[in-house]
Amino acid sequence: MEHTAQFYLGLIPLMPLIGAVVIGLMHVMTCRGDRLPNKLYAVLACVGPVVSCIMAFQVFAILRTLPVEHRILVHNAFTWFSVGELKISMGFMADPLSALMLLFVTFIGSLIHVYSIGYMADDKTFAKFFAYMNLFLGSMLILVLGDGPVVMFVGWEGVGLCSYLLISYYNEDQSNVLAGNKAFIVNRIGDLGFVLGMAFLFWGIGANNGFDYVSLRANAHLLPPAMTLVVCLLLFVGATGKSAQIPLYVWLPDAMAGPTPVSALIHAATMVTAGVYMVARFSFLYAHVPAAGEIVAWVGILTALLSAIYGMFQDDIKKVLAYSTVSQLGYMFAGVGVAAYSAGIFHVFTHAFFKALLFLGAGSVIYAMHHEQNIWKMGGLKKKLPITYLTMLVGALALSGCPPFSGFFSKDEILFSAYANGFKGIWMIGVLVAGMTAYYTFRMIFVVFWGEPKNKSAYDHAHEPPAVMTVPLIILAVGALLAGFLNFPALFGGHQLVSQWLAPSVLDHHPHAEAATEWMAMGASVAAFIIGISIAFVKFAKGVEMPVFSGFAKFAYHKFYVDELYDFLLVQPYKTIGAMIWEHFDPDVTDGPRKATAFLYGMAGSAFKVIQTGYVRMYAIYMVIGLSLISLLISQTLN
Amino acid sequence: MDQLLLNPGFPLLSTLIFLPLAGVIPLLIVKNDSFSRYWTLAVTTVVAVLSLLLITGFDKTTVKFQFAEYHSWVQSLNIQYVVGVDGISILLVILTTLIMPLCVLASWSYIKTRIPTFMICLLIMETAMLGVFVALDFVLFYILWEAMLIPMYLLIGIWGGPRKIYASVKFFLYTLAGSILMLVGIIWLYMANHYSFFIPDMMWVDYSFNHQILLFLAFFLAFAIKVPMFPFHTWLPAAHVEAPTAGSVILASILLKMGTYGFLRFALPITPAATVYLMPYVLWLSIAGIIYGGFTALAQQDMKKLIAYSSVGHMGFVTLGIFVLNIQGMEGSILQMINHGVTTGALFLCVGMIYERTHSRELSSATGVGKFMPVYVTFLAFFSLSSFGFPGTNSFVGEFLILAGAFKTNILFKHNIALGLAAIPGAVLAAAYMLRMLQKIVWGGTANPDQSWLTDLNIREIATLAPFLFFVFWIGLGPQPFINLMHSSVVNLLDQFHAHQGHALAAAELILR
Repeated sequence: MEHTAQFYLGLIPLMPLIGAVVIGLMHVMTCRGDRLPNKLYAVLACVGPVVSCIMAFQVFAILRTLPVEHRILVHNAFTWFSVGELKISMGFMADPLSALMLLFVTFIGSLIHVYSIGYMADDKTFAKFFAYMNLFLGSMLILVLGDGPVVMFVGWEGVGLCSYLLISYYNEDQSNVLAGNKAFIVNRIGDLGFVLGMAFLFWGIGANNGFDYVSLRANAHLLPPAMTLVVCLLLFVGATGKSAQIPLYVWLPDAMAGPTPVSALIHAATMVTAGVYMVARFSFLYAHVPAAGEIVAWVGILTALLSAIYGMFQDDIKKVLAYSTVSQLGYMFAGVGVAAYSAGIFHVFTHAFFKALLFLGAGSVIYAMHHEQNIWKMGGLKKKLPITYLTMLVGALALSGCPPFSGFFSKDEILFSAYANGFKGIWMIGVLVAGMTAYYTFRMIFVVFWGEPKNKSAYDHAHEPPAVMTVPLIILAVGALLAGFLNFPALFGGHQLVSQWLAPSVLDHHPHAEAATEWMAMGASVAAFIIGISIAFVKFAKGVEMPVFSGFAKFAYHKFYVDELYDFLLVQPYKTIGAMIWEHFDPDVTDGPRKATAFLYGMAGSAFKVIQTGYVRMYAIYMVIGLSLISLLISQTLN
Repeated sequence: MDQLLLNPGFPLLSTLIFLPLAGVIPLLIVKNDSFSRYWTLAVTTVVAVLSLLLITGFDKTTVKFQFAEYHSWVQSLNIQYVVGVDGISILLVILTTLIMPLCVLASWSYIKTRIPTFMICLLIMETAMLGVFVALDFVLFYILWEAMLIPMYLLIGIWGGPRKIYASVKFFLYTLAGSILMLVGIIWLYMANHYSFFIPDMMWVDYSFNHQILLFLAFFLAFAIKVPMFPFHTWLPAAHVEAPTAGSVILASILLKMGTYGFLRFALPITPAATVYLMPYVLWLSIAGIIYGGFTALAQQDMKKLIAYSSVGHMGFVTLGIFVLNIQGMEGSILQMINHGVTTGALFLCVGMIYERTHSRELSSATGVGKFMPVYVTFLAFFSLSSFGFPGTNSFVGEFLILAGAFKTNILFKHNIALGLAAIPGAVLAAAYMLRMLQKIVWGGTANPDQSWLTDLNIREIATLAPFLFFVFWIGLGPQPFINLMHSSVVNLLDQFHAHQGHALAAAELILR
């Protein structure tokens, strides 16, 4: 049975990758002639993810049958390369942490593939879209299943590439392509941290003891504390890129330029949580240096606050959700930062459901409104799109942390852990952000679905999307509603199944707290939720016109001009340096010695050219002068 | 002589070297365009197939020069005809033989005038290049080293672009000037080694420190110009931009490797102490090249210049790997030489294919062709990914090994970490300039709306690019066969190096004190 599971580990990422290659080849070969029918591509596209999903469930089931301390399955597909101490193999590993990730990545991935069949039905390059999506899923699975940092990095870059390709998908518009470039390059900056961290980790302990997670974990104590801190912080730089945290969060809102299912799958449910996964994966390092965790937690919670502020002033439905994603990612980092790794991962898990749901819901609103994304031009849609409305409402309640929806349990666990582990400041900001989250989420719900329709003709044409799109919504809504009960707190007599499950993989720091404290923390979260939703209700439930921002609101609406600042401080200098080198330094300074040499030779040539006239009479004169001089010399010597 | 594993049977290496030269003869007689294309393709293909025998017969366990042939040539001066391959040169030989038929294919319709002459240049080029990689006698080496310049000069000067004369003269004089000092070094070595030009005898001799420094500098200039290392690179963009596609491919894929090959074959074994002493400067020049090449590539509007400057950066990685002087760096470098040959060669082919259609290499005029040439952009995208070291492609493995080598610290070289740190921003730059190119070509807006007449790649063009793509993924996913070929020789090189670096250096410290 274990053998079967190991066999599956290699196949799980392979299935979508094969799908990507097959669909990609078929597309490239036929796209200039008659296109093959969409139905064929739709089937091919869904086979890989669904088969992977089934195998993922089996791996999970097999893992459960093993005794707790032996819940690790490793499959070495092949040795990638090996030079001296450096041996890198393509190995895949399932332990409780990666198995949990595996489950929801394949499950939600499959659902979004199905949904996309409906959403992308009119697209001219239907096949290309699914080739990219399959490639993405394969890379994400490599990232999750990789048995060491290098294999993780392969997946890490792979998902980055697919994200880039899919953000630039509507490439008729130059700004979308630029958004893709921005995402890739910002991520690449983060990757430097990852690569550096890997290099230090490798020469620190990996070179002599093996460079897979199992060996690294066993030898983590050999790494000097200062070095551990450096490695942790460098890895976190990588995480801030991929998971859009301060200061590298700027790419994610722009990434909404991609098709909406992409935003749901890549920029909400799976890829952007890779950074959180990475920190949890390396919990054996972070556990040794609390200072690193503290930095992670503070960066996370400040990102949560900042993007919640942005989220309150957006007017594009996807941008609202994008900032809420950044904000929720901030929570997750706060969780793993305060050594509540399982709480952080649990939030990754629940967030995947409700945020994928919200994005797909937004997608069906956009679909119904013929690609209108401005919330102020919608309104009153709940009558027209009842399924979308109800499912999105579930998602919104989960996101806002309304008990007993899934988001409540996971977010509360993070905030409680922060409080109990002594991070009171983080807890306070966290509660504040919870209120803001409820506010901006329901601002969106009220403006889009309540009140009067702003655009009458669009409203009249709006209709519920086909079942291929609504069924995934309903399934996700059930998940968003119920997923929280998997980690039902002990306070209510639950068993915290998820935390228990993850215990062998992550080094949680379990706070010992009174029940009263726990009730207090929970009460604060619920109060924040009620206040947030009430303000949103008062301001927006009756339907309002698009507001004109001024003062602070205007400043926040323009995202504090951070993009402009980065452009001024980083992008423009880079371009200027490039142009300077090219236009002045390279031809004048670097090539200077060569030019000078050529000039000197030329001068010498010109000097001699004067006497080389080609006239016989001139040469006769030179001869006479020469002979005279020689005669003179001889006569002088003889005398 | 005991460094040679003589080949008693069929003289495979000589056949490889001289078959292209012999192939020139029919071209001199039959002056037919179509015949010369097919004939040259046939000759280069036969050479490519024969060269695979090197792989099957190669002994991976020995560090000697294999398939060696030894004949006396000029008795009075003690000049021999000696050739042989080891793990350092074998991959470069194979790279050369495999690239040549593809260059012929790439020139099929690109070259429209004096086709037989063009093919003659290609064939002579192949003979000279193969000879350089396998020559074990310094005179033979030097003659072939300089002989390469002539067909290349003609390729650029006759079939080049608008500024072809400027570019070809600059190329010729710049590289020639660099090799003059090498000749002086060779003559000094000849006299110091009892009037012998036999290269293996000159290695690991422990010349005095001062002599080593002078020798190193003499060789360094020749090789650094060839690589080209910053700041000796200015001939490269000019030559690339004006050269016809096949010229650019040969230049990028093979000629540039002669410099780095020279470092491995001559600088390290002949002047180990000087190498250690001057290593920091070479490393910083490598870093400067990586960053400088990246920045300059970012500013280009001309696709060929962009790729030319990216070459400066990529070759900076190769020299970095060589001079960190450890196993990861060195094997990474050799692999990266092959990778650069594959990837950059393919990118130049891609630019050539666009040029054939639009007669422009400007990024702006290629904007948006992706819509009409899906097969083309698929190839281009893969090669671009390879160019910035995407995992799964060949360059990732090479750059990964080089960076791993750069970060490896040991007692002697404390500054390696700083080097690794400095090299990494090059990776961001590489992504930035390649994405900029992709953005314009593959996507771009509707700046050039009248491009619907563009035809996608034909079968011949696909056949030209496909082998490159094959190697991109083969080396990317299963590089071990390539690494195994070079492993024994590299290990031996490093062992010998570490054994010999001390002698002269210790002596030097006495003097310097």
